[in-house]
Amino acid sequence: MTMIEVDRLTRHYPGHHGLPKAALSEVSFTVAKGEVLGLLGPNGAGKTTLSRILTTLLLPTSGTATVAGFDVIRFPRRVRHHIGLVLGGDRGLYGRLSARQNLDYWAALQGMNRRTARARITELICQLGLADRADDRVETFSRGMAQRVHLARALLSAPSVLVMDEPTNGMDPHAVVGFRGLIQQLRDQGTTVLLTTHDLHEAQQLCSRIALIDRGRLLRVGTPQKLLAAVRAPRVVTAARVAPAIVNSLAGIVGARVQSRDGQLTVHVDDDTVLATVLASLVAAQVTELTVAQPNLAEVYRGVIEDREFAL
Amino acid sequence: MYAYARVQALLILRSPGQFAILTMVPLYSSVFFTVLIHHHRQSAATVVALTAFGMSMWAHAMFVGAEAVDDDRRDGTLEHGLLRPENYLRALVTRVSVSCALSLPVLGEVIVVGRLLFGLPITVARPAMCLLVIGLVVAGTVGAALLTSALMVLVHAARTMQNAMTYPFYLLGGLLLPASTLPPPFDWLARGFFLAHGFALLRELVLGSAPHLAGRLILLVAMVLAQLAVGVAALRWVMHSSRHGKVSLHG
Repeated sequence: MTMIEVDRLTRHYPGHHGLPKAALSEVSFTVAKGEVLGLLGPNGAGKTTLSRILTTLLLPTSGTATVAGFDVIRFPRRVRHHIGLVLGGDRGLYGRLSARQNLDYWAALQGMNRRTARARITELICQLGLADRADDRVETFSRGMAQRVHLARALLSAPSVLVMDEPTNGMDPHAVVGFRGLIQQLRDQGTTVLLTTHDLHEAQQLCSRIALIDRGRLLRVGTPQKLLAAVRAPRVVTAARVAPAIVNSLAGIVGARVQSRDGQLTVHVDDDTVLATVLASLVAAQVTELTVAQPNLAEVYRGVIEDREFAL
Repeated sequence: MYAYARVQALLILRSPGQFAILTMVPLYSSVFFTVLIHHHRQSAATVVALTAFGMSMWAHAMFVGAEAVDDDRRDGTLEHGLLRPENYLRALVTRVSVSCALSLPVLGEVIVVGRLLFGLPITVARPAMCLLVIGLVVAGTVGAALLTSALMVLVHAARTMQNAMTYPFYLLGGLLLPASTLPPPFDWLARGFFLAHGFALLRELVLGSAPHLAGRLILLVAMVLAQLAVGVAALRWVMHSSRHGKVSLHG
């Protein structure tokens, strides 16, 4: 069952000299029920614009998008009942209020009656590990704790779709691990998640599929395995205590880029046949300290998305 | 509604700075009362007390009540509110009403200062009717605060505009002097302003004589409702514009 369907979605903003600037251009994809789609891209790629359109905060210039079968333009109220929004960062809650008071307010805003809201808030506070601090002011919370209150708010109406915009931004490593565990639980319970993140490790760990977006255009969509298979990123072979004669022989293999220093060898290879030849040569030379690093999402990202900020 | 009102009350109570206007402006009443005594005009004490209350109420509405949307934008809560725009609008009306209603105790404060500290004869001839008119004036001020809160999101020089919303409106609203004493065309502008109408009626009620009371009350109710409608419509327009990308959701 498709929970999010985006078809040729385009959003223009007024740019310099009144010329329209495309924040999103003809973006199309679908997300199935229970899937976690990671949205990766640099700042200004169009990720937040897409999140806002899907959560009915912004209208597209053209194209269509549906959430749980409801068009975000024509049936925003229906969409809002199926969607929860989690934003990262320091803001988004009333710091002077406690977690419970915040959730009371947001529950009222979501149209929940007091009895239902109280029961649901208590349930979420326990589920998200906030019970000990539920009546403390949010301004005293760590980023990880505050983010759990953000998640609790998004889950008040038990939405079938969650849109998360960099939810682990600025968290310490322990909090990140805990928060990712919560997302995994939601995914296992059948919640569909659109996860915007800069963290490639997080995307690889949590997402069933990944979409790469830049300059408002969707450049790639696929499972991490499919994206990795398609990328022509080099495999890196490292070995220790390699004799100079072996280094010289490896340097003669076409397609192998060899670097060596004090017996420490690094070989970059693009091709599986070349990789096999290099490994065979090292094994034949009785080199035992040997590693082969597979390409990861970072290589995919760097291969697909142009570096604009640090390109020299 | 209770949840919205409770949140606003808590937000204000936990920010003592928000009470600055309510504590400082009544101090002006001491200045006003001193001037009265110096000029042997003790008989004007009740009207002067109304002036001090009116200034506090209006300033509090403009500087605290009208900040609700801008505060939400700064705190990053606006986006979450806009996920339920109809309920958020109700929440804002309730929250701004709570903020403005907190200025009501100032009236008692000013009367206490005048009577106990200065021994002035502050008396109210028709207290029930005065309270009704004050309630209506506060409701109209809620409408003005809603309109201002919408404008603060729309204009770039929000703080300048906010500062400009005080003294000109003290004059236009007839808080310092009866609006009928304003030169044209300001007296014409004042005739369409609920605050000028309400304070003119209030001044007469505290002294006892208020001719054509029923008709004037009906007119005041109509003006207050119109002001509330304009304030709500402005906020609704801001929310509508935000969905079109014409309003920044970040402060």
